[in-house]
Amino acid sequence: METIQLLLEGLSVAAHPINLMWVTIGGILGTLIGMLPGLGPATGVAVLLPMTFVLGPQASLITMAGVYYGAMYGGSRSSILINTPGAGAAVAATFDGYPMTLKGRAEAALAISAIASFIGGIIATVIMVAVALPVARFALHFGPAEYFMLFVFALSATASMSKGDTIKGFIATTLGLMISSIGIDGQSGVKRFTFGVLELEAGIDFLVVIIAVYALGEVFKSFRGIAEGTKKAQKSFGRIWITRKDWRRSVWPILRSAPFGFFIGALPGAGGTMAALLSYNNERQLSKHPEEFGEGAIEGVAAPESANNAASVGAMIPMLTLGIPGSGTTAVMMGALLMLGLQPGPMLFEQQSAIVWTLIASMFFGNIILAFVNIPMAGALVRVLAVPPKILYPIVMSLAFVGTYAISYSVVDFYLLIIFGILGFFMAKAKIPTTPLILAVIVGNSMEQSFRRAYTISNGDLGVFFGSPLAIALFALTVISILGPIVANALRNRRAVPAA
Amino acid sequence: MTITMISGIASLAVGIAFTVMAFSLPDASIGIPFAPKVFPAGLGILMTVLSILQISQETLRARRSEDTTTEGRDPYLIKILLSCVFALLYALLFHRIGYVLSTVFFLEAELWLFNGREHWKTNTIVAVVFSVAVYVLFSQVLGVYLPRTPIIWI
Repeated sequence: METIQLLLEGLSVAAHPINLMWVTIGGILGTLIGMLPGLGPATGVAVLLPMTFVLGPQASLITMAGVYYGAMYGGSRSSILINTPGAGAAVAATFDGYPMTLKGRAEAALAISAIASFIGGIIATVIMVAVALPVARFALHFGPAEYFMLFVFALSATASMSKGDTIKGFIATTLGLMISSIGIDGQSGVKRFTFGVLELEAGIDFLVVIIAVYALGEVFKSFRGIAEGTKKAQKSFGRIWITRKDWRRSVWPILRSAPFGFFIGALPGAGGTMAALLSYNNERQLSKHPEEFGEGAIEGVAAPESANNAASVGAMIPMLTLGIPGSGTTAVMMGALLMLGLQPGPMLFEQQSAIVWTLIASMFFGNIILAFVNIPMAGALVRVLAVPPKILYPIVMSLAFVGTYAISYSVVDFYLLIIFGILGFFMAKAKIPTTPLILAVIVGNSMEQSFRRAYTISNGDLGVFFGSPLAIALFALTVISILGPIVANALRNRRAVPAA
Repeated sequence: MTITMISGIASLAVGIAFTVMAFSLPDASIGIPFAPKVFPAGLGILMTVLSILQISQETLRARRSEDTTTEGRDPYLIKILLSCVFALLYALLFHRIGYVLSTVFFLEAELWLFNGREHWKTNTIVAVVFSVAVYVLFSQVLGVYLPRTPIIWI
């Protein structure tokens, strides 16, 4: 009952015309950014975030949520039309979405992807409403030692599940934590790793790292793509809608994939991309005509689109209730909350309950608005794909700089932006995943604080981190998350060797 | 040498340097004296161990496959370097000549890299329109004060 009352209060704030306007603006901007190949929800939120500070926490968060979901909707537009996913999570939409376009069914593909995203998003938001408060209440029982072990688990799950090999994932995580430890130590006043630079004493702003890696790093990577030319997208469309037969084929896959996607999204390390790919495989196995998958089967677009939108909602659960982001994009959203002075975690639901529930409520409105934006207006929006990236990328770069200036009013951050942009580029070259780095930079401070608190309480005894059943369980989960992929790999190799 | 090897060696250097620096941090004057060092020292040691693992894994892999081909140099590296140089100049000029003028120069330079010299008319229009529009949006609408350009007063 408490939940329903809180939700109703949130809905009444989110339904305010001004807030509806922000979620619409955010949604349209997000859709446009999501459509551009290489620029996903993380980049969109990172570049637009500084501009929303002046709006105040509530409006800023609502706008950012709009950008986030908009980018999820938009990512699949370019998957379907030009076979290039606008964001990682939209990659599964290329498998059947692009074949549909080639067969002249782009309208149906665009429509079903928006419909599936809408239904997936709404179902996931309903689940979120149901579980948010219980999870947050449970997390209140965590002491500093348990909290530290939870961070360890979340970071190692992300590192071992990220693309590329596990060691590289952990190197990225460690580097991120190192970056976050720069500056004056809040508890003792000791200056750490500042190299005598005055500006580093306050620490490196995680937003600068985020903008650098997601905006500059992506632009640097895109030089190659631009030189290789861009594909022309279909520009004129018939009525963007689906047939009754399409609907019958898609409805169950959409409904099945939503709770599944939500669950995957809520796991640390697994995100929309994994949810979309897994649900695509599920549907292919369940289907009566698996041979049609990859040739333009409409449920091959519907299922992953529903799953990835549901995952993007599910990923908000650990971020809001525990203060642990499960993906790059939720890490950026968490950055937004921190920047606005809100510390995500169980206490957020106690102290800032109005803002949290408004944010959750705005997810309902956001999904409804985005369905409108993406079906009747789809034809107009995809014209953005015709703007040459050659002009867009320099503009993104310039926005990254002005956004950084808006955060700190300091040019010193420009140098950091360049340094971390180069770092992001080289990490991509060396196939070191950047998501674990971003996650670590964001949670690094809270992680060390909980470590220090537990360490001080126990008077320097490290045994405190294994002192409760919960802490031991989290440690066991950490070990499983690290060894799981390694064992799975070894088994696969053993099976592969005799065959070869 | 493969790029994985290079990144392993770089991480090793970072790990060792970080560990040494962590241990030489001053003691805290309140509470447990070495408390500020424990977490960073742990990170430094972890990084060192991870990079040794990566280097040995890469050495084994290279020996097994005898694959010593190194990845060719990125043909776009020069453009990326130039991009960074322009960004550095941008940072240096930002306060001196103001947002609008420095951004026009910066965008013009980046567009020259991305879009090519032959499209200089488009580039100039984009650079000027974008810079002025962002200035107006930030300083008039969002209340973020960007450095003014002398003489033209925006």
